[in-house]
Amino acid sequence: MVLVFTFDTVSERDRFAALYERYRKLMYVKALDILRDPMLAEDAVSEAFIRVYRNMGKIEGVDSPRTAAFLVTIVRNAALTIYARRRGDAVPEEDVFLETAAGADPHGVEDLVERDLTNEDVVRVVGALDEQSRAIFVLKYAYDLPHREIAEQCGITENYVTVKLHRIRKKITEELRIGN
Amino acid sequence: MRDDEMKRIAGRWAELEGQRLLAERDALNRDGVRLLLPRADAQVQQLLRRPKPNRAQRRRRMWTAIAACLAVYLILPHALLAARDAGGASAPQDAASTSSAAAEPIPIPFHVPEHYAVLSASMDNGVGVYYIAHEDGDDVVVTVAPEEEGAAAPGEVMPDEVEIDGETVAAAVTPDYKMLSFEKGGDVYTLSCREDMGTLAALYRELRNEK
Repeated sequence: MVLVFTFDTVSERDRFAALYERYRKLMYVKALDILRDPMLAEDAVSEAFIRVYRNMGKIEGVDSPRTAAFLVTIVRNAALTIYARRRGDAVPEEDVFLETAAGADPHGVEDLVERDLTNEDVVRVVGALDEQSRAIFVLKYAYDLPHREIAEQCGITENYVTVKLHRIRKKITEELRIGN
Repeated sequence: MRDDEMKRIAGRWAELEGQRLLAERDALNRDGVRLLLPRADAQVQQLLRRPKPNRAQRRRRMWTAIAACLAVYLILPHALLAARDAGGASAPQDAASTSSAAAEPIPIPFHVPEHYAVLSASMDNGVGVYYIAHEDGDDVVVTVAPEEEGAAAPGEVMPDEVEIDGETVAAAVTPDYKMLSFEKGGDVYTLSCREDMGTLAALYRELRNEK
């Protein structure tokens, strides 16, 4: 089958094709873990690569660890969205009162992050987040996706992304404090 | 917690998790068996055939707007300040363009707030570029790009965010300039100035609240 060039550059098209070839099986397995249905898992892979296509600017090397984490985050989000849709669940968006800085300890946070974090610290604090929060956190801070794209990937509103990020920052701060 | 610390943690996690996933990927691919995913394969082939949706055009418009802001701000200030000092600034809603006197006046698509004066107005690839001066503060370049003509959404091109009156607004903050960008009435507004984000925030409030 002849691939017709439609990407901005030939290298971008080739990178996309290579990503699909190398990651399709891994992404399928990750989606199947969540969906337990081969056809739905295939749909998740398909949806994930549409999202990858839109975010090719965030992809580094095809075999880069950050690329692997990015693709798996995307397919897990796609699978979770399909799962929620199948169950008829709307993603809950609680009203959250964002605490002001008035009650915050102005010194505690900076003290915590001054020390070097070990790999174990990093895995622990990020692992303490629920699946959706972890995806939002990683897409925002590791890959710098705009809130609108994160919202679309997670099946939530842009406003809720902002709210969640505030909660995630608090959660991570608490986890670091526990570890300290 | 600061954003740079969050980025550090997230980046390290992505690196660690990614290494583990690469090992898993390679183990899965090692068996040489091609997994049959006919619908996903067909979808990807469609993507490989489909043109990117105006990405290059949207990028061109974004950089045109930014270049227009910076060019006007960095190259023309002396001439325009001299014109202002000589009483050449005027506050009418229709400002003449910086080109020849015979050119049609370019309408200003927003109400110029009190204490501001329009020093120049021009069109660049469908993007309106308006240089306005506050009577006692930073001068501001305002660009207005119609979304229907492919202007990129603010969140897609601005690297930062600031909070103004409880709203998160797309921004760019560098040592050399400050920028805000927002959507209003189907257009993407970009405000830029050299010094003070507060100046942009005040103008943002005026433009946001105008009827």
